[in-house]
Amino acid sequence: MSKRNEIIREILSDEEIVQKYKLKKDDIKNLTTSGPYQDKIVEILATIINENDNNRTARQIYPILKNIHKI
Amino acid sequence: MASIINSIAFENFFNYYGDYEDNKYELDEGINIIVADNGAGKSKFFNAFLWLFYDQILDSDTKKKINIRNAGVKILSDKAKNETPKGSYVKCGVMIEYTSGTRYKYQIIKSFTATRIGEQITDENSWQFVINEIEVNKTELVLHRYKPVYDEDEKTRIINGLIMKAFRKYSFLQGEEVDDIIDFSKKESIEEAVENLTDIKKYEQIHELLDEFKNKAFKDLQKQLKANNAQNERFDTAVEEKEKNEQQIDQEKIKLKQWTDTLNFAEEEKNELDKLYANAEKRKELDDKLKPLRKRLRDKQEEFETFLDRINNRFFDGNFAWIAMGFEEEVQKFRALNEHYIEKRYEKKALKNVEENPNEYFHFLPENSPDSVSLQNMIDDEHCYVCNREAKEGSPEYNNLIKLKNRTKDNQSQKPFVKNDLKNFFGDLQINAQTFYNKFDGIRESIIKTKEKEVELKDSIEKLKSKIKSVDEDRNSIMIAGHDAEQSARDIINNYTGAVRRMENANSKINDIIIPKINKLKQDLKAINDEIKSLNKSNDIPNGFNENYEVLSDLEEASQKAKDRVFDGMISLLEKHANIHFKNLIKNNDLSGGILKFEKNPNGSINFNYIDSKGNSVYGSSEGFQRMKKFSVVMAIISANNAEYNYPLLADAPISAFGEGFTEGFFEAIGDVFPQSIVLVKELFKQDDELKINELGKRLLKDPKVKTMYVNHVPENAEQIDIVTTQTKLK
Amino acid sequence: MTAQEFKSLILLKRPRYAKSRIPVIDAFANKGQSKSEYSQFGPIYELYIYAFRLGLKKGLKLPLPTRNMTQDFIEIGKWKRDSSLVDFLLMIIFSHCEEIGFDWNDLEDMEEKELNQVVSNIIEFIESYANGGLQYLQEEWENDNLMNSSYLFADLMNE
Repeated sequence: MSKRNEIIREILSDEEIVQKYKLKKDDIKNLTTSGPYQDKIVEILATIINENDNNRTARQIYPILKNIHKI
Repeated sequence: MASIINSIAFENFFNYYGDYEDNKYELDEGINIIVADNGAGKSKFFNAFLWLFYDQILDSDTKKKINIRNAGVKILSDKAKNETPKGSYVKCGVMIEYTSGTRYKYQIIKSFTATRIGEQITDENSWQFVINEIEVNKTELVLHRYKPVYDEDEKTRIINGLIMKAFRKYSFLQGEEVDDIIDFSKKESIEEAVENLTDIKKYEQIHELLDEFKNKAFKDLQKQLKANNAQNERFDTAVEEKEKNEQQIDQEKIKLKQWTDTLNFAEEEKNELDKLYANAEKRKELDDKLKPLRKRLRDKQEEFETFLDRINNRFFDGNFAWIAMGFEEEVQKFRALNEHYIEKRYEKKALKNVEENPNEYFHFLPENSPDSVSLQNMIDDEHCYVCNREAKEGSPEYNNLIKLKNRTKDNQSQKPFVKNDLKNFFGDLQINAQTFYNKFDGIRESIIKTKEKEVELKDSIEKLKSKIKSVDEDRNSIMIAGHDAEQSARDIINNYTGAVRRMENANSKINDIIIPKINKLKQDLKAINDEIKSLNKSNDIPNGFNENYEVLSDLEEASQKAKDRVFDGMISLLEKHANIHFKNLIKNNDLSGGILKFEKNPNGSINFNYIDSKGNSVYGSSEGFQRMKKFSVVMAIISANNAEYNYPLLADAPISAFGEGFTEGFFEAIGDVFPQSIVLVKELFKQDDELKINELGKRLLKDPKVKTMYVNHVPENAEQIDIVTTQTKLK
Repeated sequence: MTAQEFKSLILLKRPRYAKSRIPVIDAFANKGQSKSEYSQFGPIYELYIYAFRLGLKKGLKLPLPTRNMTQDFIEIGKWKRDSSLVDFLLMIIFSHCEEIGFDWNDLEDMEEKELNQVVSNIIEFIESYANGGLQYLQEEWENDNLMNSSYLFADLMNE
């Protein structure tokens, strides 16, 4: 739980991501891997982290990501 | 929530004869010291934990771990075996009590029962072993009454709670094992620690997933584009370009892999040789120091031998003339005899002259008296001034004056008046022998001085010897594992420098050529990707495909960077902690202050160096020093993990063999790192002391950080079946 | 006979020692050979002179046995050449003329035959005391009374 949050915060705190996706630094500090999600990028990464912890394979996770983009 | 071991007890376990109550060590939070000489139960402590965690013991004969099922005869106390009649049984076990947090206390007992069925107690076939089920009991601290735990999962959880699996090896140090735990020749050694300390594995998994998703997203996108605009030539070219670039990157990556392998191989060899090299160098240095000392000793000894050999020469050497001692009287006598002889000789001569020329008695006049000038004057003046009388030419008086004047001439033509003229014989003896009899006064003094000189020579020989001995001891304490000859010391140095050269070569290939090339290709790739993306935008395809690809490739990059950040962060944290511990460990040794440096290699492995104040790598001298470096890292791994690490340390003082300074530093340092440590140490033992501990032991006994201290005893010169370890609690 | 001729008469003599002293000579004079456990002299004459001195000072006069039970060694003239050691030794001997039985001045009037007899007496004098000294050393040695020190002989002189 807290470890997942730690990971998502660590990855999204990347400077380029913050700028490009217009994330707020304060928001990142309080990010969690549970929804609802404000940004698509957060949703996607949270999904990957959570599903990986649920022992889902890449093959199983990718369709979920595509669903998020509605493709 | 720290786990604290409250007690360890043994029943008929090796030399711990008797039941648990007889062999119980009560332990506290903080430092617990068990002083035990060789054979007094040190390794048995470790075996108790090996049994507890792994159902194994370490066979002290073969140094191999064997399963408890095959070790019954070895483990069971000989005395207990001997006292068990045929048909009876005896129990053997270990019991540990520990507290975790403020609420629960646990008791874990592993045991077996042995029934004697044969005569030969040391024969495995004389015994039937039944391994008892592991007993785990639990009590609330306030209740003090254990209740058995039956649930297998909970049993496992309780056992693991004592020391978490991943950290057992850091918690469980037996002498040289430190070398295996932190083996810098294997890059996994630090990585494993980082893995245990961080979620780096998770970051890796997520990065791998993202990489895969990114590629999938690109393929999806490509499919869309082709479907939408099969004729888009510019797009195709870009994709082709992208593929070509990716192929090049793959090729460079293969090259990188090859060079990395070379580097790793050389580095492994270098690290393998590191300790040996340091020792070889140090040894060579000491050898260089020994050589002139040995030569000086040889010279001095030779000088001494010659000196001793020549002592008796001093009797006959005119410079010393010791033989003359005591002959004072003889020399006096000789002089007197000589004077008497000369006197008598003159008388004899004169008498003979008188006999032959009775008138020429003037010969009694001493020679040259009167002198020839006066005589000539008297002759010229025809007057004798001696008796003041006239002596006219031709008179007997005048003739007498003439005769007197010619006296010398007469003497020369004189005939010998003795048969054997020995005057010169005696005279010469007296003159020549002066060398000897002139020394009379100095001989006693000369003997004393000679004796002093001997003492002086002996002293300087003793000094040289003790100096050589101390250097020699230093030298011998530096073992070049398995290699002892000087030849191999040279080989080690050669191989070492060879490995360093290969490493440098590979490093420059990797860092100066391949990595810049890959970076350039990646940059190009990014540009191509951007180009593809902008081409996409002009295409009429669902936005989600573009977005999917873009988000995933951005996340892929970000996760890679996050992974590196976490890894680097942990490395620098470890470095910081290791340095703190290292400083504490060396504070009682006169090592100049330098720092430990962790450096990340391009291939991801960690270089671990000791850097002096000028920034140069120090290939750290002795084995003790190497061990200390490693132990600092072990402690860093534990202390860096402040949130997670709450387990006791059980150690066979891993650096005490290298000197008291190390031992003292070790005890100071562990107190800060481990909530509880149980340290078994031989070096504090002192047989002929009342308390059986040495001075350092006594200092530690007074140290408030040391909470309990035991001394183990075994009877001296006892039969194997009577060897029983007993303990005294000093604190 | 001149002084020189007289001296030569003495210097050409080869004093003798009793064969029974060979063990003690082997033990204390290394003659340039290997070392023994005791402090040693070099050539035999060194030990011989030392023994003579010891015998003389301790009054241990012990005539040699019959000739076939004795053995000679190098002539006195070759004892420590280029040194006045022999001169000193002769000085000591001639100071004992009374005991040997001659008078210095009488020597000068003696026939060669008589002189030869005196020289023989002198040599016998040396031999007797050396023999006495050697016997003393031998007894002390055989009875383990000798301290094995490098100063054994120096200390023995002071006794």
